[in-house]
Parts: sequence; structure tokens; C-alpha cells
Amino acid sequence: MLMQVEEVSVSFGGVQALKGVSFAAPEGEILGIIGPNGAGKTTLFNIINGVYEPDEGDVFFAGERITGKKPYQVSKKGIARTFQVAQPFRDMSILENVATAALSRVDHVDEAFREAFDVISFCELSDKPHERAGNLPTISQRRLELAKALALKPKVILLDEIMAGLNINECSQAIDLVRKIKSDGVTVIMVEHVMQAVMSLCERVIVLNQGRLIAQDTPSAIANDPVVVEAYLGKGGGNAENL
Amino acid sequence: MLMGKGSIANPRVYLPILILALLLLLPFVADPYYLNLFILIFLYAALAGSWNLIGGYGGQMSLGHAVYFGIGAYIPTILAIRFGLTPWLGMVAGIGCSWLISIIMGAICFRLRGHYFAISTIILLEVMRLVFLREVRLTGGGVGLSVPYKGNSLLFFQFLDKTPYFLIALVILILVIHANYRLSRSKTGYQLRAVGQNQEAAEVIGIDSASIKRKVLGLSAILTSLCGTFWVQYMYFIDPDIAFGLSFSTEIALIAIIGGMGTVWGPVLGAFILRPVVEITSATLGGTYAGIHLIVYALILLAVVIFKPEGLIGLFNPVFSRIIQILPGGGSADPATYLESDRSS
Amino acid sequence: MQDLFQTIVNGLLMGGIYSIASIGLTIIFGTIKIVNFAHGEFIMVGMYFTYLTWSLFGGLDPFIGMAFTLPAMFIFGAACYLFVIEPILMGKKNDASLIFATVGLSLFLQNVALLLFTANYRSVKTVYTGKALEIIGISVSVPRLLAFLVALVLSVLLTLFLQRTFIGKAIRASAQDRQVAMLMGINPRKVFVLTMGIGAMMAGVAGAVVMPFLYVFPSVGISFGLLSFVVAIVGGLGNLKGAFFCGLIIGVTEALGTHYITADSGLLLAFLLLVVVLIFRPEGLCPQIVRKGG
Repeated sequence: MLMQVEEVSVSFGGVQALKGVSFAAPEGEILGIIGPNGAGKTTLFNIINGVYEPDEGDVFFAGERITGKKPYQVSKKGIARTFQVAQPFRDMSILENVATAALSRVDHVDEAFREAFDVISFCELSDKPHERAGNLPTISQRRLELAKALALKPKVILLDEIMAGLNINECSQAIDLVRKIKSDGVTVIMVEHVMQAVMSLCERVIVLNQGRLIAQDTPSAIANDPVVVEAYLGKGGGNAENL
Repeated sequence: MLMGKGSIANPRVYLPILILALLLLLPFVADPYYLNLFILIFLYAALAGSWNLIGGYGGQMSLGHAVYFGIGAYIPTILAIRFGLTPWLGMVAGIGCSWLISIIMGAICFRLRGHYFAISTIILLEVMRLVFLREVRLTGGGVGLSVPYKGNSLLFFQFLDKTPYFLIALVILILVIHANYRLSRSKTGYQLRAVGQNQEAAEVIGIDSASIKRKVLGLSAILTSLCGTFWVQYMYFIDPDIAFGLSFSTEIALIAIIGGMGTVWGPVLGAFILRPVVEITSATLGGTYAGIHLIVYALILLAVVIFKPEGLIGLFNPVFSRIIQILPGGGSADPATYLESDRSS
Repeated sequence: MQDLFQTIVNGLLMGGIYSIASIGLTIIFGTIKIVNFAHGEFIMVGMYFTYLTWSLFGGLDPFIGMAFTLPAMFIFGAACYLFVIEPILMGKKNDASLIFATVGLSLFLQNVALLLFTANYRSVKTVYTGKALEIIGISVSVPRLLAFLVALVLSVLLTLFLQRTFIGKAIRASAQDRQVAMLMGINPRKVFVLTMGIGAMMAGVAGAVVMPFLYVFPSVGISFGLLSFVVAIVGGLGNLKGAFFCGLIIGVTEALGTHYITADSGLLLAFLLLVVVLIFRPEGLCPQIVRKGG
């Protein structure tokens, strides 16, 4: 198992965001994390990534306990992460953004820029490398977010709702991109609402509801699991139309 | 024909050298009034440039930066008075102390962000000022300290003529410009800029933001301290209000901001524009209208902040580019290679 | 013992004034989310307005003069928002611009005051200037007591205003969640103008009440401003009650320091208190509730 999350619980100001969540991700797998809004999916990422420290439980990566490590330390271990709302370095160009990420691995600025150029091509951002990141449309900022994560040459990449708001074409391009990432040997863990993506990409899916893990199975088994369906529909709102 | 970037025939290379040569001629032709003006311009440019490392590139609004200036001024003076130590060595001691204080200040202040950070630096500056005001036996209190007079002495960093001061100030400025230049192109520079623009995002891509901020603040403190030592040797006097004055401390940052923060030449431009403005307005109007030069200053600041936040260098860049194109060896614009990253002229 | 009580009473009286001095700062930060580095200068402007009404209207008592001073301060605050703050909020927002806009404002105000009034110290004389009451053996300065009471009353009025009136609630809503407030039809621009006006007005109150016993000069705003920051931060920027109580705490701390150590130690002690708070509890003693999302 490349990554293992064990009995992680955390609460904020009296609200229990996660309770006793455990799962494991083997190397090379594409794992999906789904669940209604407020289920704790992003919080889970924040815990793995080091942004928050859990009240209880542990996170293991490649056999090493990384619970409570700071985000930059987690990143250096080989775990990359994208944010739901893209967080580019607005006053730097696309190329500079990605090169700065690459600088976490290489020491020479020239080399970092060369690698950045390759990553940008991979993510199809290469027509305007010197464009200021803050001026980019949302889609491009998402690609940039991904490019920065990939520049780290991580072993695991945590994707937080990268399909959100994409149209059919864009979604399909994104799916292809994720497949390319996997074929490069990167383990992917993705939080998603867009079921089409989950169904086509994920080999396994875990379902969170109100901070608890309620199911863990293949995508098709999950889609037919009554517990999961109730979690979405029973809440009255949410993403019934996505199922 | 396009000249290679590093070759001497390229205006980007020979222009600064030419300007430097002209500056070096100045002491032979200008009278002491103008030499003094230039010395002050160099010093303020050096101060603003030092601030720019952590404030401009790093986006950390340190409004209390004068702390390092004051330490750099007081320590050599105290050591000279008590132990007869040459200010050159005192300067090293001052640098050491400033560096240590930067570590402490960083530890306290960097836990805060944005406005909170700015305020905490101001408060710590005030604390320093009050402490120096109190400790009369050590620092002379409100009365201040005078540098022991040694006449014309290289050993004691004192000269009767303005020329040596001019040259030393120029050297300090060149050092600061060089530091800015190196930072802007280095790994640390990129990582620092990332931290300044979005600390969380920077952490997530593996940048140890605390360590980067600490390192660059340290460098900034050292350079600022150098300027402080120069000041006290040039002015022969220091007191807590000069050393740790809030308006002065803010002014250092102002110059960099008006000129263009986060660029190599912005702070220099800021000093070259603002210092003469201050001199001229206080000379012509200051007698009749007290404080008017600072009103002008404030209005320039407000205008820049509202209309041209990237600084006056944004106005001058196109002009410089044009000049470089016209000059022999400039040709058309340099091809934008993907290594081109400095946004100043 | 007597001595200690006297010192504490003095500290509380001054503390009440620090409270009102910082309330404006706190409200502005809570709603517009900017720190007004010119806040000390707002207080200075309030003091000069008070001085003007006093000298132009033949010795009009500052407290009565507030009828002129406060509306003037409100308009002044609103103008500062419209001409300085808003252009920046609308444009490229970054930390530096907002900070330096108010720093520039501070510089501007200080030097305009210098130009108009010169560096001379000025004060107002009232019937109760220099008078003191004896209450159970403790000497209480009348002007300071009046200042404290007025400050207290106005703080209470402000709190009621924020809690009971629609505008007040709109301000609080915008402070808590600007986007939701907008969705509910609250015009953020109006709210910001009002907030800045009210913040400036409260600074005006502070300026008015201290004129009977303090001097005004162009740079008086610097130390007032710093103390306001200390109070506002220790109390938790944006928290009104916090600001009020911390004002009292800082006032007492300063008085104790000044009395038992040396003359400037009071200020130093107050600052050191802030430093300690910043190290151990950067969000202040009673911060706004910060909700972390899931």
C-alpha cells in the first residue's frame, strides 16, 4: 500500500468534520472519493496534505508516518495536491509558476525552466507560456494548477474536483489527461462530483458522508449501493442528477 | 545585427558601465552640495533596495525595517566610544547583531500575515526606540551619541572631504543592486516570490516558507545595517528618533514602492526621483510652508498606489526599452527566450 | 495600597479613552477588512476639529462641540473611503497597496495639519480643566472622568446601533460574510462608506473628549495610533467588546508601568504585552470567530 489513512478524526469548533476514516491506496491505482457536499472530502485532503492535523488517527505514506507533517514536508515526500479553487501565483507567468514548483526538486533555475516547459506542453498550456497567471481564464488556471503539481514529479497526486464546471469536451480532455498521468506511474486520488469522470477513471471508489466512510468498492458496485444512494438522495439536495 | 546578451557592445551592458563612469567623475566636477545630494540618493536607494529583498520580492510589508538601520548605527558608535574600536569592525558587530535581531523579529512577526505583520513590525520598532531611549547609560538616551571625532582617518571611517563618502555609498548601493539582481534570478528568489503571493500554495509545492523568509530577511537586515553604519559615520550623530523613527522606517519602504517593488531598479528609481523632489520642495517652499515636501511625497505615494501600483518603473520601462533600441548595438528587441524572467528594464 | 488604587483608577480612565480610540479601527477592519494606518491621524483631525469649534465659537465646550465635530468627522471618513480606499479596493488589490494608501493618507494628514496649524501645541480650556474630585480618598480628574463617561456612553450607543438598527445589522452582516450580505440585497459600497464614516466619527469622539486635558499637535496621532493598534489587536481585530475591555487592560497596564517603573515604561509595557499576545495568541485575546470549512 502506497498510502494508508487510519482512523482519522478531526473536528473544528465543535463540528465533527471527519470520524474514524480509514482507507488504503495501492501504488498505481486511480482512487475516487465521492460524497455529498460537506461530507469532509476536502478536509480529508487537507489532512493528508498537512494543512490540518487530525485529532486522532494517522496517515502513512510508503510505510512512513506523515501525520502532522507540514505541507512542504509532505510535498517533498512525493505527494502533490491541487486545490478546488485554483491557487496560481498571480503575478508570475505560467512558465514561472511551474518552474517554481520544479525548483523544489532541482537546484538550477535553467533546468527548472526546461522541465517546466515540458510539463506545460503535457498539460497543453504551451501557446502562451509568459502570460500572467492572474489573467488566465479559470480553465487554464486549473491546468496550471495541475502542471504545478506534476512538476513535482510526485508519486501520488491528490486532485480536488478538477472536473467541476467543465463542459463535455473539456471533461473528456481532462479524463484523458488523468489517464496520461496514471500511465506515467503516478497514483491518483481524486475527489469528484462529476460521476461520468468517476465511472470512467476510477478503479475503486470510497464514499464519505457526514465525515464517515460509508462505502468502499468498485464504481459500479457503489452506484448500486443503497446506502450510497440514500446518502445523496436522502439529504434532499445534492447531486442526484449526477448519479 | 543583434549583439549577444553578455557582450560589451550590448547597450544593456555598456550603458550601466557608462553611467557608473559618469558618476565616478562627479566628485571631480561637482561641489559639496551636489555630492551630498548624491550621497543621500545612494543611501536611500540602498536602504530601499535592501528593504525590497524581503518587502518587494517577498511581499512582506515590513514597516519597522529601521530597526536594523538603528542597530547598524548604534553598535559601532557604542563600541567606538567605549572601546575605541574602529567602525569597520564595529560595522561587522552591527551586522551580526542586526542579523540576530532579524531572526528574533522574524520568529515573532512572520507568524502573522498582511496587515498584522506590518503592525507587528511597527510595534517592535517602537519598542526598540523606547528601549534605546531608556537605557541612557548604554545609549545616551534621548540626547543621542556622537561619533568620537578623528578628523581625516580611513581607519576610523571618517573623512573631511565628501568624496570618500560618495565612493563608499556608491559601493554599498552597487552591492545592494547586485543582491537584488542575484535574488531575482535565483531559486530562492522564485520561491520567495511564490511565498509572497500565495503562501499556502507555495507550501503545497514544497517550499519551506518560514525558512525562505528568514533567510531573505537576514540578508535584508545585514544590508540595512550596513547603511546604518554609513549614516552614523557620515552624520557623526545618532539618537533614538533618527535611528528608529517611524516616518523614516516607512519612508524606506515608500521609496521602493513608489519606484516599483519587486524589481531590481525600482527602488533606485524611487530614490533618484524622490530625494531630489524632497530637497527641492523643502529648499524652495519649506521655509514658508512647513511640511509641504512631505505633502508632495504623500500625494505622489497616493497617486502611485491608486493609479500605478506596479510603481513608476512601469512608466519608465517603455522609455528605457526605446532608448536601448536606438543605441548602437541594441537593434530590435531581444528575443524572448524562455529564460527571460526579469520584469524590469 | 491607596497608591495602587489611584494608579488603577487613572489607568481605567485612560483605558476607556483608548477603548473608544480603537473602536473605530476595529469596526473598519471588521467590515472593510483593511487596517487604517491613518487612524491615529483621524483622532488628531478630531482633536483639531474640536479645537476649531472651541476657538471659533468662543470657548464652546468640546462635549457640546461634538454636535459639529462628529458630523464633520463622519463626512471626513466617508470622503477618505471614496477618494482613497475605494479606488484601490476596486483595482488591483494587494497588501501593499492598501497598507500604503492609508500610510500615504497618514503622511498627508499629518503634514496638512502642520501646514495649517504649525507645530505649536494647542489645547482647549474648559470650566473643569485641571479640576479633580475626591472619591474615597482617590483623586479623580474631572476632565478624564467626563471623557471616560462620554466614551462609555457612546460605546454603548454604538453597540446598540449595530445590534438594533437595520444599518447596524447590515454592517455586522457584511463583516461576517460579505457575499451573503450582498445576496441579501445589502449594498456593500453603502456599508463601507457608512462604516468608514462611523469609524472616523468614533475617532472624532476620542479626539473631542481628550482635548480638555491633552495637547494637540500634528504628530499626536502617532502614539495614539500605535496604542489603538495595540488595543485593537490584543482585543482581536473586529471584535468590539474585545476592543473595549482590552482598552481598559492596556490603560491599566500603562498606568502601572508609568507609576511603578519609569515615565516611558508605561508605553513600553503595553507594547510588550502586545508582543507576548502576538507570540502566544496571534488572533488576539477575543478574536472574531473564524470558521474553518470542511
